[in-house]
Amino acid sequence: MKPYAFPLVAIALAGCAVLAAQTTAVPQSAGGTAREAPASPPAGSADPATAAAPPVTGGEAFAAECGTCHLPYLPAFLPARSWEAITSDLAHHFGEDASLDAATTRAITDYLVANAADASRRSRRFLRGIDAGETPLRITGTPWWQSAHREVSARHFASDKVKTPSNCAACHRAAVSGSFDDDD
Amino acid sequence: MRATPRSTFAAGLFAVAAATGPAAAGPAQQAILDHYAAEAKAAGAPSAFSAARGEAFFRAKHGVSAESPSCSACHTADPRNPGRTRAGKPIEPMAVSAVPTRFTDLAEVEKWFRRNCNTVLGRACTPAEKGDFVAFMASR
Repeated sequence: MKPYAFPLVAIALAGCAVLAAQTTAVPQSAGGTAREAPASPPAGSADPATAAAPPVTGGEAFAAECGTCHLPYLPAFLPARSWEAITSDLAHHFGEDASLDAATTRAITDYLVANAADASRRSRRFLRGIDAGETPLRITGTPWWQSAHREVSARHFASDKVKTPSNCAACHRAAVSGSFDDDD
Repeated sequence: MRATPRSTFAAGLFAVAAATGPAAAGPAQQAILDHYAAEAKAAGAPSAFSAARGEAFFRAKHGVSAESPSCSACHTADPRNPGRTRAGKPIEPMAVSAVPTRFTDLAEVEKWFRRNCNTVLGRACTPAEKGDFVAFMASR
């Protein structure tokens, strides 16, 4: 083993401990349902055995299944009724058949609903301008999203790098870990 | 440019890799081909698969979906290249020579045929179509 390997491992473990502490600090939803931490990319796992394990939680299933084709969007970007509508017809998912087995679909739906915009006070801002009787199916169609991106040109969204407004990570480099603060 | 011993070695390795040509199906891919051959036979269809037919199928515009007219719309015309989903995410190459783990897990292969055939063709693919497709990817 290289002489500097131990300190690196120690730092990595300390980092995990900090992450774990942050995870447990996530507030519980009103219904008392344990809220899963936003799914982190599997690259963060140091143990290959863990990384290879099949998805078990709804959050992991969401990241693995939905994240194959698009960024696993933040559940807080849409109200619970939207997620229920979307996952109830995955066979017709924006022009594609994205159907999954019933158990996986249920687990993903539960995760999305428990972490939806209306599940916590902090994410209520994403509901701004959405009528109670309205069930938006596109994050990019919500008033807050359009307001946040009003200065981005259509040409930029259509560029080869971005391709579509659905490709958050093309501009928001840290989007996969839930941070949309960088505007580079 | 002067060739260093290291770059000569690397070029040699590349030449060997290129000279081996199309990758033959490994045992795991062969098991999948055998599975579809048995299904095709049971359905009374030809069970001898053709990489050429698979290639034509892969590139054909099936005229069902405007966004996903063909397999190659997302996977590109050359399956040795990475593709891209409609939402902009990269897709690993389909060719077995580029990604040797392709077509080694029947459940995974069936999952994607089920969804993508429905999206691109508006129906399930036949065992013969699946077999031709895998034969094409295993030949690349």
